[in-house]
Amino acid sequence: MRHLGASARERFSGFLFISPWLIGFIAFYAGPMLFSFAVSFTNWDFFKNMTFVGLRNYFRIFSPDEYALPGLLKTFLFVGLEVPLQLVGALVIAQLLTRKLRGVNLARSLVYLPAVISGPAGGLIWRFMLGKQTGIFNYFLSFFGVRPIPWIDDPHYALFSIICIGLWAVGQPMILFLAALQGVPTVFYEAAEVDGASATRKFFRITLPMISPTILLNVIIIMINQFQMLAPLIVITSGGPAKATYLYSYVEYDNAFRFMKMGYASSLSWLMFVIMLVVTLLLFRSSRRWVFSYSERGDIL
Amino acid sequence: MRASRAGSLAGAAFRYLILLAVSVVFLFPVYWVFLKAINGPIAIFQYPPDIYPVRFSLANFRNAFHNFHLARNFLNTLKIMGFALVGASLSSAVVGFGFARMRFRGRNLLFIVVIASIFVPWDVKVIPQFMEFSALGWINTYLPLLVPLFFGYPFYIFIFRQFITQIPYELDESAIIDGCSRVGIFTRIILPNLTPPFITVLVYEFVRVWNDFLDPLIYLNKSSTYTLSLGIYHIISPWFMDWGALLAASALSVLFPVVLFFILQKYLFGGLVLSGIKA
Repeated sequence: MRHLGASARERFSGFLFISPWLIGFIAFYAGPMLFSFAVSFTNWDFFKNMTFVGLRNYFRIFSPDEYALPGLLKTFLFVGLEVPLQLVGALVIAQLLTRKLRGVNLARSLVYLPAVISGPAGGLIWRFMLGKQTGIFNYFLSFFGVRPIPWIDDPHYALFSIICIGLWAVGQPMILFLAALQGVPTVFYEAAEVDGASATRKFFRITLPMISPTILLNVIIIMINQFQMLAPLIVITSGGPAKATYLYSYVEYDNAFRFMKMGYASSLSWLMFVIMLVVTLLLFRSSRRWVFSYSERGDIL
Repeated sequence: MRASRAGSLAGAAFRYLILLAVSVVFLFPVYWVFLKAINGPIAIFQYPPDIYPVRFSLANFRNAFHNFHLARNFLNTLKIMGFALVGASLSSAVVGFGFARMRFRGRNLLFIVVIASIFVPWDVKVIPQFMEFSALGWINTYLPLLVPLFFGYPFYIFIFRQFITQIPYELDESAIIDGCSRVGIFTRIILPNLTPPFITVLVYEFVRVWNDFLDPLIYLNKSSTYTLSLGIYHIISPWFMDWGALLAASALSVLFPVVLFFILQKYLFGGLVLSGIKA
């Protein structure tokens, strides 16, 4: 593509066109976040004067606060289970829906459907269906002689149930996998068939390497979404029973918007930011070993 | 010969069975909320439940509208929707054009910042923003939900930028030779070609605003300002759960995005796939 020379005028009008974003980024992202970094070293709660407390907020996350550290561990458990489950679920369903069958487009749409009904309605539907006494889930299970299970009313089951509900929303990664699977050149499969490769071998030797960039993208998207997952907790379990689903995001939410402890909440959110940054960078680092790239450029975006 | 034909027939039947099973599993919760909503208040906790419609009653809906201000909350959501759709799409198109067509120092670095900010989690950005917006006195107004949208929404900037880079640059060049300004190129050459990304962005923004729950929950405390999704949440009560009203309101709130989705799914999927493709 041939460009006309970039004159000083073009440079100026370039900045002019992106200036809305630049101003918004400084005013609503970078500025407030720097301010909150400063606030994280104070005990500000909107009412008291700001007093510098050094690293006390950050220490508090790890000892006096009885909810933050357990919440963080539960979040790790939750993300650690949800990411592989959603990833495998999305890939399996995408693989099932690549076949050219009549009605396959409708099935794809139905799998994606839950993605457009997030918010309280989606959570409430599940809360209703998972009720212990009259929920439809336990009714279906009763056909198999299973006694009513307290899916969301028992601390031992609640987090597990939230994890399973998350599997309902695999539509987004599924669509990305579908596009990636359809993008694998068929000549590779044809060549493998000539060599007599089995279906499993084709999947692990051709399909997986070819879609590995999409796997990385999906891992990152799912992981970031699950680290911040909060709305279903508020709607379905309110963090209970017995704080069983009181994840880190909920601790942040309560401290910031219910207790108005802006200093402490800022330190909680900065810790989460750093954790996610480190995990994402580690993923990108490791991706050089397992993500296959055509162009040898090794970049994903 | 015969056996293999029977085998392939069984294989096809098996594949259709899987297709059907997957569809039912994902559709059932939606079906269930509609069924329970139209079955009337007495059938809510009926056990064993009827899994197909046996009676029809609008009492749950009447209840939801009457006792929980569903209509007012619905209007509030529409009000926000109007501003959000216009603000987010137009500003993102302008910025996307800048990143796709203009050359200036630091452009690539800034675009990486745009992409990185798509991935900044909600809980990381909302606490700083909450402090800022309360200092500005924007609590209990729609400003915190709307004003940032008018400065470009990173994911939509990305969609527009990707689409504009695919429009042949020769179009711009010939317009420049004809003496057209940069603004003129945007409004006369590029903008008329942006229908597909605009539809994608508008559908996304509709679904996002419609379902947005956490932002209204934080910024809106007065019941007269509640949005539809926030209003549904406030039907939940620790003392008495009016499940009939809740399910009726949920069914209504699910209805709009679902219908829109089935009409415009081509554009929604297009945008999603686009987001996964290398730039």
